[in-house]
Amino acid sequence: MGFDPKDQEIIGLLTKLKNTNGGYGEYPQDMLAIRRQGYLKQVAGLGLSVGIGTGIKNTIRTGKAAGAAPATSTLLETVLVVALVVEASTVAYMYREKLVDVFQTFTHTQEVVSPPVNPSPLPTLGISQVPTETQTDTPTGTAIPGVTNNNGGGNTQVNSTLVPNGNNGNHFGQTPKPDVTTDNKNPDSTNNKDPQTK
Amino acid sequence: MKEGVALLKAAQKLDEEALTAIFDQFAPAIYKYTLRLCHDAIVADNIVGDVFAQLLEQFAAGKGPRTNLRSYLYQTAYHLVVDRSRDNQHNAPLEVAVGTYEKGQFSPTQTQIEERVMMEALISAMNTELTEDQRHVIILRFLEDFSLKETAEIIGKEVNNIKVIQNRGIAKLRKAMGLQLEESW
Repeated sequence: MGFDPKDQEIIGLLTKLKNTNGGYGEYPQDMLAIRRQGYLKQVAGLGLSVGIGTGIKNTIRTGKAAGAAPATSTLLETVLVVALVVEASTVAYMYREKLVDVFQTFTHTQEVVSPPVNPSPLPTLGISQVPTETQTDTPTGTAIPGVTNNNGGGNTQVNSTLVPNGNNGNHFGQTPKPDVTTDNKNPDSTNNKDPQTK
Repeated sequence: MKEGVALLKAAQKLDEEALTAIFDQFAPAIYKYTLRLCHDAIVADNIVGDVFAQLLEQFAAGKGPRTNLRSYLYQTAYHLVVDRSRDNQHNAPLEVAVGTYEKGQFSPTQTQIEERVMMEALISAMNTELTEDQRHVIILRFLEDFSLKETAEIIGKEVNNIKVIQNRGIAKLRKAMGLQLEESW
């Protein structure tokens, strides 16, 4: 890129400044050494963690730890086994009750589980006695007066109304009908009254 | 020792030797670049540490630079410097830089004295006259030898924008240098 001739002087000065370290000194050796040491530690830590990650990736891809070095492979296997055992134990401990339920379901054994105890005092409900059913005798029939049951023939005979024997009293239906008398000679008799004639 | 693309490929696979080689190759340059921007050796050293820590994180995550490792490192350093300068406006006295520049000069000739005066004026103008963007572009372009495209990538701007910033920066330096030189003579 071409610069304006007026700027060439400044460009020249900047070039000189670059060649003289820009007016600044080099990285102090002690400072650089400390910084480098810290960086190498970071690299080493990164290499370990990423090495394991890479090993896992290779294992997943190839089905075996072919890409890893023997030492890394052994380390990877050990770490994986330990991690699996720890994880399985933790999960089993956390879900132990559910696992017990699942196993019991498979074995078809039913167990009566006591209901959870509620710590808060609930009002107790009293159970009242259920009234027992009592059997009562029901009348089977009523005796019809006037009907003589002679079938049994015993003491259960029902007597009909006694014959009045001359004292009619107030016996409905038993009052003897008066004899109808007709008196043709007496037109004023009560039986032949005619109001119009009066 | 691996070079260039091979070094980068090995580093992406977290090869310890490659990662160490990258540090040895670029840490001093990143330090110098950062020191030019922040003028503080301790801050520059910390930024170098952060730059390479971020690089490791990126490589571990399967990310990071794919082609231009140098630009990537400078870009990271640039962003860290900008972040720090936002938090803390800090300018070290110019004597720190000039004093370092003078180191090793026992009996300067007349030419060397003149040159030193010019350099002092240039460093002063860069630190006081230029905007942040102009200073970054000038440093990346003329002191770190990045191309316009690389500088644009590092700064995060378009190439044409970088050209404009560069030309304005040079104009400011020319003007400031002329004034300062007139004052010094």
